Amino acid sequence: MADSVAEIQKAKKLYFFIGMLLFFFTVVTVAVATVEVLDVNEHGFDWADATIGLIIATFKASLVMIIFMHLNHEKPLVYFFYGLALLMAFFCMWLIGWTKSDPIQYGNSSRADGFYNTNKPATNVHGHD
Amino acid sequence: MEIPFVVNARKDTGLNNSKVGIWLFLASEVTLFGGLFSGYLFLRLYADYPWPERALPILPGLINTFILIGSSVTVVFAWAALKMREWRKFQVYMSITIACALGFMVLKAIEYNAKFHHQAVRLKGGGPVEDYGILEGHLKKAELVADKFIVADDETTKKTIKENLKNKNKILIEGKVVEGEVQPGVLSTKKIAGLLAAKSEIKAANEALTKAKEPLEALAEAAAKAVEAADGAEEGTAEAKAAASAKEALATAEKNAEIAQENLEKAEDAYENLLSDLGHDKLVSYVGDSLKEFNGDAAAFEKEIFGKEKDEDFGKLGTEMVSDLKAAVSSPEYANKLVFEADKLVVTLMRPTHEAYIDDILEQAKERNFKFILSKDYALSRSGFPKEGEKLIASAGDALSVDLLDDLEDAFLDARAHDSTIRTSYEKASWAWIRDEEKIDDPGYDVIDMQVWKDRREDDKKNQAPHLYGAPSEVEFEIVRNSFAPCVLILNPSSIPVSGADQVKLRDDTVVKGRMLESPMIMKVDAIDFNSTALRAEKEGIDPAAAIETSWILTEPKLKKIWDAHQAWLKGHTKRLADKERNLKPTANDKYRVNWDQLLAYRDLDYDHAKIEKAGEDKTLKRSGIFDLNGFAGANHKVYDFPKVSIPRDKVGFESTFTPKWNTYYAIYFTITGLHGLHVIGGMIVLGYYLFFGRKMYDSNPDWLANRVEVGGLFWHFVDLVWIFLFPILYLM
Repeated sequence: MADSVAEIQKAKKLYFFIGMLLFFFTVVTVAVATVEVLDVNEHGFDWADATIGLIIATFKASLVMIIFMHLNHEKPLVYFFYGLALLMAFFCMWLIGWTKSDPIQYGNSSRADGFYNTNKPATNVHGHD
Repeated sequence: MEIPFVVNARKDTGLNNSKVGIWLFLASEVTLFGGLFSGYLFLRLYADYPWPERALPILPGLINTFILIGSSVTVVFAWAALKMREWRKFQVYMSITIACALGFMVLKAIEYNAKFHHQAVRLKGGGPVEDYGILEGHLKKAELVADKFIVADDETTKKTIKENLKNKNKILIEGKVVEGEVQPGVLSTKKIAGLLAAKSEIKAANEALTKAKEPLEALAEAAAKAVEAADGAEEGTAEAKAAASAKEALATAEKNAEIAQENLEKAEDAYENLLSDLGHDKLVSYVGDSLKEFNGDAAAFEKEIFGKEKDEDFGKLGTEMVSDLKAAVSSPEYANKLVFEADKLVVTLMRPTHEAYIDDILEQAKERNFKFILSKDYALSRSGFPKEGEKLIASAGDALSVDLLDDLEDAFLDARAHDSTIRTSYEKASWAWIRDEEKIDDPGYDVIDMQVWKDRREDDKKNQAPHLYGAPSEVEFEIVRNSFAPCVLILNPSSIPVSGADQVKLRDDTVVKGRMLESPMIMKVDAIDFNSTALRAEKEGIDPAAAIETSWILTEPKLKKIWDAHQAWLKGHTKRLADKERNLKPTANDKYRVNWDQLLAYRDLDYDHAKIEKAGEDKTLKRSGIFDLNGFAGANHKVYDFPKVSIPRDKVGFESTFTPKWNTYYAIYFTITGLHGLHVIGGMIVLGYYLFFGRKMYDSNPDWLANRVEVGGLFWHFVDLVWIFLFPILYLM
């Protein structure tokens, strides 16, 4: 991390540059979403727009973390904390995906016993005949 | 006491303590927002309605992104200034950061405010998918109502009206709601002339009747005398002739009177028919029989009833009354209320009533000078124990109050508990009996099919009956009217899940019986959305266009015109997209949604389909784009005028402002951005503290302050980081 005056002066230029980069990529995100010429894949919003939007957002967030939050100069303990937190956050998302495997709520491909799933024929969910 | 490791790092961690603290905190924050983002993902992936894509105005979100990125730069500059011992620069950078935070919150407030006032209505009704068309817009004020065409034709009625006005009783609200303007019971000049003619017919008939009746007495007397004189006289004598002619004269006069009576009845009938043709029978019944005559025109009436030269005091009161009524119905809330003319109130005792509903009803009844009284006695009595068991809880005529309902509910619950105990004891005894008498070990539910069991339970019913209270589970209140005011209850639609024409049931199961008066939802429509209709049609395997055709929206000429214009635009737009090498197709929003800016553009082109289609083809339709400041936070009803429509209440399937009630998109939008906003406010307070109270620490230990600012800055960067994700997922996707 910058500590001497000269280093801080140099770092300030970097912060400014990163700020400009973030502005630029914000404009890019909006342009990709709204300008028709930049429509990727189908016209309007689709998975390609979502992917591009999220990639740019992740890139911008990484810049903030690495440069502004000084993660490029941090101690291992901070990486550990941050890594753990991200792991937890992704665990939350995985949990959401996991609910999809709930056969009562969402039906089951091997046993079409969707008790709540009206699209599938309801069979005896208690397992009796 | 000196706090350790606030400036220097601990050897084991390599960090100063505050940094360890903030990173632990940020780790928990990552998990928290991670959970919320997961929630967003879940709601979006499993949404059973068309997820609103790019539904928020981009400009405020974009500016807020710039603001937060800019403040992230300035906060790190403020930290660098402290490191270089430049207090003045630190102050400048930190002030900019805090100003940015304030700016962010102001924009957020504008955005939230727009959502809180923007109304959406989902329609219901016929068609293969039950309509599901959505209208968006602002609720429009209803404009009043005038009872100024009613004239009292006698001093007593005038006096009564005056008294009612003095007591602030509203006399009448009568009229037809047409597109937000409640038109008074307007009588055309022709109709008024007819009425006046009919009224003078009655007068003439009355006069004729009086005239015809006038000689009756004298004639009858003369006839009697002549008959008496002719008594015993032979036929053909002068006396006999005189008696015969007197009798004849009497008979003629009687017949004349009869005819006059008939004429009067006819004239009265004609008048009544004219009145009922005008649809003002209700009006007459409100104000009593004495108030039947309608005067010539509005101006003459006003002069008559509100005019200063006649009665200054009365005129003033009249004006006040009209302005009161105007104020009452001009509030935007009124446009979304159900106006119900009440006859009876039925309250269930099975569950507690919602106190706020009852209070509201009581307040309204008080305001309109009527009250609800209990229809009949509520007593607990057991037929077997007339004396011991009887207890009068409330008598017929008791006024409705929350306390009374509490007493009734308590009594009902006690009675029910008592009855349950009796029933259980009989049933227990029967189970024991069937085990012992019928020698059934461990009797199960199989016995309920046995005849002996059925007989036994029949006997049980008879035997237990005298011991039961059998208290009624609902009570009825009837209306006592104290004035001419109609017994109108203005009810909030959100408290009524199902509404019918002759009764409404509030969410607490309280039923108001009566008649629904016209209570349309009056809206200035700024968007039409058939995405839900189309989605439902596709699921059912129906052509979306056919389903849309059946929507109520297209029966409203103003909206139909817009939709037709949209089809023209879509034609041009589709052509243009298809012309391109990539062979693009219009999006669902292109096809099924008319946004506020399109709606205005079509009007600007006079709904000329050829022009609109061309504009679609050339991409020259005036769209607001993201930089239209007038549409900064969405459709701006202050700048633009949108078509006003009146949606019949029975077509309103669901209605809400753009808040979590409307859909899960707004639920997650407000949850995440609200929590993020709280973080902005929190960060602003912490950074403000360093700015305004940091000087002392700067003088004594500048490195410590720099560390603090770095820690505060880390939090601030995190706030920025969350927004970097929020902006695209909420505004652009």
